[in-house]
Amino acid sequence: MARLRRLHQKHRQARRAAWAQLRARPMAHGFALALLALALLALLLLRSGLDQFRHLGEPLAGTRTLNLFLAPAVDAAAATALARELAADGRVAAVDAISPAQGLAELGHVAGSAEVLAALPDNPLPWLLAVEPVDRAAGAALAADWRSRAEVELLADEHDWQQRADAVLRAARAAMLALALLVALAVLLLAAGTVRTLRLEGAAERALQRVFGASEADLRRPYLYLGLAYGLLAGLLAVALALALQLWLQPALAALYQALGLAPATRFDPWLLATPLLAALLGAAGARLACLFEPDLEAGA
Amino acid sequence: MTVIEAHSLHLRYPGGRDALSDLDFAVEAGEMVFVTGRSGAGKSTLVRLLACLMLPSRGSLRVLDCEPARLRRRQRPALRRRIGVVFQDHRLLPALSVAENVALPLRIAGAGDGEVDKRVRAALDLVGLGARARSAPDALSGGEQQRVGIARAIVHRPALVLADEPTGNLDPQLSAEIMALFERLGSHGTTVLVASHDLHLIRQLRKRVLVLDQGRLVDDFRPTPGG
Repeated sequence: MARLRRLHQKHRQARRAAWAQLRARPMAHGFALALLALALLALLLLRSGLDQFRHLGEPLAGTRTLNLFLAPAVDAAAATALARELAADGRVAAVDAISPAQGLAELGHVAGSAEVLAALPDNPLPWLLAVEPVDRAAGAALAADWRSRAEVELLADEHDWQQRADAVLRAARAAMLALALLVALAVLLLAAGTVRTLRLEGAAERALQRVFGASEADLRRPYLYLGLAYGLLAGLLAVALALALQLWLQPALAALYQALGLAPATRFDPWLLATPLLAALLGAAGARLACLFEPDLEAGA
Repeated sequence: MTVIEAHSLHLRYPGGRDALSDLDFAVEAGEMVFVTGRSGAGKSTLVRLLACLMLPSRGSLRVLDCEPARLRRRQRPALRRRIGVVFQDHRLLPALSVAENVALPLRIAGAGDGEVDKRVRAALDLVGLGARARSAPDALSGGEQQRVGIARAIVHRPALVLADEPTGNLDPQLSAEIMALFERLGSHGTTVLVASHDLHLIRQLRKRVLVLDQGRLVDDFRPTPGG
């Protein structure tokens, strides 16, 4: 019990010593912390941007419609026959045949297009078969089969867009992971560099503490807390800035979502919580790294 | 009880020079012992060995029932916490107040704030600096700084106090005051070993004297009672 109490006291003193180190040079530490916070903020913003991008692409994810625009020579009877052929295919969940007249009527609902359509001598639209495959694989197979059919002039696969968006997201995620590793390394090295400098300055004090019985763990502890505080403060600052930026951007994003007919993304980003904690751990690890390269003063204390 | 026991104690520096050769001596609890000799005789080296800051190259050394050479590296700090050390140059930390400097060994031992306050006040009172607790070390005279160094060495009630030339930078009157302090510690049962080259001061106190010459123990003078 007494040993635990002593250990608790030692940790308390180490925290005090770390805080005193930070307060001793507020400007120098402030600049370093701001730099770290900006690196973490860049990471958080990139992640948030990717989240928004993914959210914007969500409507596409649920869509697997293949639009088969038939050749102008295909008449109503041929279009109906093709629609029946598709409906009989086990890979097709539903098929909808849209006549040129129906297509024109739908276009007429688009603002500003009525005058243009009225000026046309006749209906230029072809028959359209909107095909809903049973699943993604079936859609891909159907697209491959029907793309080469002479009756089909153009096959628009909405899944292609989803694939492109997915590819962009995958590339962006890989870039973000690389950036995250670099930022983590920056936090680690900055904490290590700061602690190293402070340890060099405090060498005489530590030698004295050794004389009076401080263990290596005792001597290391204040610096580990300093590294921890470095990461934690930088992480908290980054999160505060990220939240402030999100608040500032919220009206613009809400307008964008409204224009696209989507509900705004409202889910809480767990990285906002994890960032200060991870940064704190990295800061402590950086401090530990700096302590590894301490010359052996045992004999020369 | 024997506090220090040295048999054939030998220390060779990495360069090959022998700093101490075949020392045999023992110091009992409560004794006050001087170690003297010319510069380079090995006084400071012996103090560092006894403070467990160095390890002997050969021979055996027991301090407070522990053999430092046989202790694991992580066990040595616990032995050091039972020893108080006074330096010639005080080695006070300028960024800390007098009280904070004195509290250092207690903080290292993990003492609570209340206990630290009580013991620091008592140690400073003992060296006559109770009123200077909040002062910065730089604001004190050389003698006062040395007294702070002594308060720091005794605040954790060590069984053994080692002093390396504690009066080296002081005038004769201040030196006498500092030695009187050590004598008072000895009378309280603390074992005190003082390395000093000030023969005049040593003669005045009439205590046991170990004389070193080129790392060898050439005399172990014990004053005769009433002599």
